[in-house]
Amino acid sequence: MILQKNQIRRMEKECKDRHKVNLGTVLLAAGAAMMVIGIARGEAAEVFLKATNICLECIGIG
Amino acid sequence: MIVKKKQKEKRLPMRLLVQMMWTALTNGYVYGFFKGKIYTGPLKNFCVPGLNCYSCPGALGSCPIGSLQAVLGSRNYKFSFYIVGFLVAVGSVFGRFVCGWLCPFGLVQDLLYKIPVPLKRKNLPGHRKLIWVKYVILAVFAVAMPLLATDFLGQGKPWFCQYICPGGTLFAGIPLVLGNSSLCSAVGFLFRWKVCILIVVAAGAMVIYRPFCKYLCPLGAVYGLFQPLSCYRYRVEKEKCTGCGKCQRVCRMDIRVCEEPNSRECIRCGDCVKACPEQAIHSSLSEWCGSRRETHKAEKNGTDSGINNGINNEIKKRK
Amino acid sequence: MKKKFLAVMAATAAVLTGCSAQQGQRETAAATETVTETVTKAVSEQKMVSETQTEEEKTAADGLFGTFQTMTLDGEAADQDIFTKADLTMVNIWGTFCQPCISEMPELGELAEEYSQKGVQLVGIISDVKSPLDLDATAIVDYTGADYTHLVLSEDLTGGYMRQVQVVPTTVFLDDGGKQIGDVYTGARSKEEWSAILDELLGSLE
Repeated sequence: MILQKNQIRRMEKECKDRHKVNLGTVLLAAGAAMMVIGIARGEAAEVFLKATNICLECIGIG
Repeated sequence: MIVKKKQKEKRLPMRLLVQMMWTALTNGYVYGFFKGKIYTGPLKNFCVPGLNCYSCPGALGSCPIGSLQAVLGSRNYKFSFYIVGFLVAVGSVFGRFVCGWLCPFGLVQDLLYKIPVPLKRKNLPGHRKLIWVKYVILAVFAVAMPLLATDFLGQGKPWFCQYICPGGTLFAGIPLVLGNSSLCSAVGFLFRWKVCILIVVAAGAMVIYRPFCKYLCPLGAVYGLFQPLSCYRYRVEKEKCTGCGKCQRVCRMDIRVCEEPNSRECIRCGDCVKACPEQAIHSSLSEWCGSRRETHKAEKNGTDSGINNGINNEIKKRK
Repeated sequence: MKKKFLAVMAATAAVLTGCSAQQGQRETAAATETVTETVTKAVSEQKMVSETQTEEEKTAADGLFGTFQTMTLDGEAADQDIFTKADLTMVNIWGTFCQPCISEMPELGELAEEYSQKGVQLVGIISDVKSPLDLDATAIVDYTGADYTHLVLSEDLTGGYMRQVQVVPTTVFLDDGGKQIGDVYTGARSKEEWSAILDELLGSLE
C-alpha cells in the first residue's frame, strides 16, 4: 500500500513537470521552424561563406 | 560496494569519454592541422552545439556564436532565424548539458583543472555578480556590436570572435599560424592580445573550475536561459532530501542543487547526482529510462501496461 | 619567350615532318620547307616589332593562375594575359564580406596610381563574386577609390590557384609572365609596408 502512495505522488509530480516538458517541446518545434525559415532566407549560405573563407582579423590574427 | 567504487574510479568517467569523442568527431579534419588549412566542405553549413571555431583546421562544422555574428554582421540580414532557431532548439532540449558534455573548450578547462597547482578555488571572489558578465558579453560583443558598428555597406565585424574568444585562439588562431607560414607574417597586435587572453583564461582554469564557462561564455549564457525549461533536467525528491548540502559542496559550479536543480549555471556534470547520500537527485533521462523499465516489467508479467497493474500483482503476491 | 616560341615551332615542324614521312620524301621536304619558312617569317616579324608591343607574343599561360577566361567587374572579358601588361602585377584577392580587405583598399588604390609609372599594375580578384557589374563590389570599389581592374570568379579561376586560397585578403606578386615572385602575403597591411615590398620586388626584377 505504501508503494502505491509513493507511485501516485511521483505521478502527480510528473504531471506538474509535464507542462515544463511541453513548453520545451513547443520551443523545440519553434526552433526547428526558425531554422527552416533561416535556411530559406539564405542564412546558411552566409554561414558557409564565412566559415570557409578565413578573414584573418575576424579570427584574431592581425 | 567499496570494491565496486574503486573499480569505477579506475575507469575513465563517462562524461570525459563523451567529451573527448565528440571533440574528436567534430574536429576530425586532421589533414587541416598538417597543412594549416581548413575544411571547406558542405558540413560547414551546419552548426555544432558547443563553442567550436569554424576556422579551426580540424573543424567540420560551424560555431553557433561565430555563425550568429556572421549573419548579424552581414549586410543582408539584421536577425538570424537560422542561428537563433538552432540555439532555441538545442537549448530547449539540452540546456547546458552541451557545456558539460559537448563543448571542446569546456573539455580543455576540465583537463586544466586536473593539473595539480598549490592553489585551488571553486570561484573567483564576487562570483555571484561575475556570473552576469557573460550576459553582457553576449549582448554587447556577440549581438550589438556586429549589428551596430557597421561600415558604409552595413557590414559588421564579429567582435566576440575577433577580440575575445580564447577557444578560437587555441583551436584556430594558433594551429593556423603554426601550420601556415604565410600567416606567421600576418601576426600583429591583435593576435598577441588574444593570446594574452587565452593565457589568462588557461591559467585561471587551473586554479578555478571552468572560469570561462562561469563568467565569460556567451554560448553558455544562452543555453543557461533555457535551463529551467529544457527537456533534459534535474529533479530533487523533496521527501528524500535531508538538506545536508553535500550537493553544493560537490558542485564545482557552486550551485545549491537541492534548492535549484535547474540553475542557469548548471553544466549537468552529474557530480551531485552521484554524491547525494539519499540519491534524491535524478535526471529526466534516468527517470525516463526507469519508467520504461517498469513498464517493460509490467508487460512481461503478462498484464496490460501500467504501474497499477504491476502493483496489484505485488499486492496479490504478498497476500 | 622568343626561345619558347621557336621551340614550339620547331616541335611542330618535327611533328609535321614525322606525320608526313609516310607520304613520301617530296612531301616531307615540302612540309619542312613550309615550316621553315613560317619560322623564318615569325622570327623576322619579331625583330621588326618594337619592345613596347611585346605583349602580343607574351602569354601568362603557365603562370600561377594558369589559363583562364573571366570578366572584369566592369563587364569586360579578361584572361591570363592581363598579367603581361606590366612588369610586376600585384594581385590582391579580397571579398566583399571581408572588412579588413575593404579597409586596406583605399591605400591600394593610391599605390596603383603611384606605381603605375614604374611598371606595376594592381589587379583585384573578388573571391565571393561571380557576376560582373555586381552592385556591392562596385559600390565598394567606388567608395574606396580602388579603381584598378578587378576580376570576378569564373570556373577556370576557381579551379586553379584560387582553390588553395582560403584566407582573405591574400596578395601575390606576378612577373610579366604571370609567374609568382616573392612570398604569399596574407592579411591587410599599411601603404608603407606594401610600398617597401613593391620596391624590393621591383629591385629584384632589374
